Amino acid sequence: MSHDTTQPHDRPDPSQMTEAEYQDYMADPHAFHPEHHGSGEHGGDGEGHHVTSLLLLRVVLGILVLFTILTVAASRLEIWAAGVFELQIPALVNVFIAMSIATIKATFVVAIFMHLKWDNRLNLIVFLFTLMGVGLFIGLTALDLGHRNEIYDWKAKQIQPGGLGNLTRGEDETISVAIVEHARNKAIQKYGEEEFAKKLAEKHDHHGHHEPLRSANRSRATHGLTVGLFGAGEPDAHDDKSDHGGDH
Amino acid sequence: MSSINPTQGGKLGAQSDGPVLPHDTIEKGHHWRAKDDEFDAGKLGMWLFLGTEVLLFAGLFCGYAIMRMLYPEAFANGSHYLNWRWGGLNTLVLLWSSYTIASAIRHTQLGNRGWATINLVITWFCALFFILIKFIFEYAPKWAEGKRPGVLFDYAYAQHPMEPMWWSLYYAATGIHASHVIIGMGLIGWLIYKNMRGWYGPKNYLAMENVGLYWHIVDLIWIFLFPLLYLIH
Repeated sequence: MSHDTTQPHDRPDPSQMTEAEYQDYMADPHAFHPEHHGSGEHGGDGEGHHVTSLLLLRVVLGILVLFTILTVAASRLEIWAAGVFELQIPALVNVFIAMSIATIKATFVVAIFMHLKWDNRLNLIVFLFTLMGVGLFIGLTALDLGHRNEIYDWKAKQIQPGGLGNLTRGEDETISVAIVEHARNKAIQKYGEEEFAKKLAEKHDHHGHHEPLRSANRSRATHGLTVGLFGAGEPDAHDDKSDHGGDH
Repeated sequence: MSSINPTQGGKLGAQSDGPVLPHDTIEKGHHWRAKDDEFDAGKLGMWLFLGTEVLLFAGLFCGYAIMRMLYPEAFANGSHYLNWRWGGLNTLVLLWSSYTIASAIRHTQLGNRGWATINLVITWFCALFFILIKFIFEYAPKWAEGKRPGVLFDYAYAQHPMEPMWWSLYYAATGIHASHVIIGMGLIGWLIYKNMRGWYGPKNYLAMENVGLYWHIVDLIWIFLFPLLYLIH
């Protein structure tokens, strides 16, 4: 349609239309240009809609029954084989076979019986996104469960109350430390104290000595706010303004 | 929603020569641009609902996966209590019922009201058969023996302390599925009633299509439940 889009679009004036033009206009006032011209008040629902052939329905039923028999047979076979040959077939094999067959059956049901093959593509997209949701659901749960037994070596020892801040810092090897301190200890073991101090100085320019780690319990160093908060055995927590020189 | 206009009987290619059926005079709801829009929107809505149903059962499947990973022995013991023959029979019954409801929709599209009714009735009886097998031959004996979910558990010969969890999962998954079958029976019964009154035909079969979609999801869930509960040891 060629019309001047720079000017305001003139509203169609019914009084200027012939009867036929008026009927056309009222059938589609916003000019959507629908594909079916018979989609008026009556008719148009069944027209143009795909009808699944009877043969196809029966063939798919046959396939589904066949796969059901197959999946039962696979299961019985596995049990029989495990008994006769005294094998220990891992459970994953059985699960994989059963789920593959179930997925194939499901595909046939969804595509043919549920008519998705010939349907509006949006319905397929909705269904696929649902499956993605299921995948996330089960996948992420399995990821978590699969790693439940893992113990990080930096948490592997006794954990003090107060979290991993390790308020009673010391050489006690039985107490878990914060991960930063754990990494630092590993480096100290690897390079030795002096070498490590040099490396640290290079990185942070702290006059050749390393700062004691701030407690992981506190995100910002505080001092003097609470009486007795910093006990005798505790490193001084100092803020940026204080003198870095010192007593270590 | 569609409305009937009884004054226009007989004009529009009636399905019967006798009294005017509601199907012959049905109009689209007036807020729809075209009848196909009404149909497409109705179907999309149903697919969105089916998405929520799939996610509901995905939760149960997730619970199953967790239980399998945490207590594989209890799971193996549990699945031995189930008889794959009953499960297999129920699977075949549901597959057949899926076929008959797809067939009923097809007949409706072609205007064969009689055949559509017959297929719907067969579907309904398949559903009834499923429920009867489940309750009479599966649930009742197990319940009597004490194989029950949660705090109701009373089976003296269990071999693993976590077996009650297996039973909880079994009853939850198959029970929620069975309740969906019963709801489906209600929906199919409604379809039978309305079809016999002449509401459905080539120009109006959205309701049938939607109930068919629901029924296929019920079948689909069982297709996954059956191997997971009955066949994997």
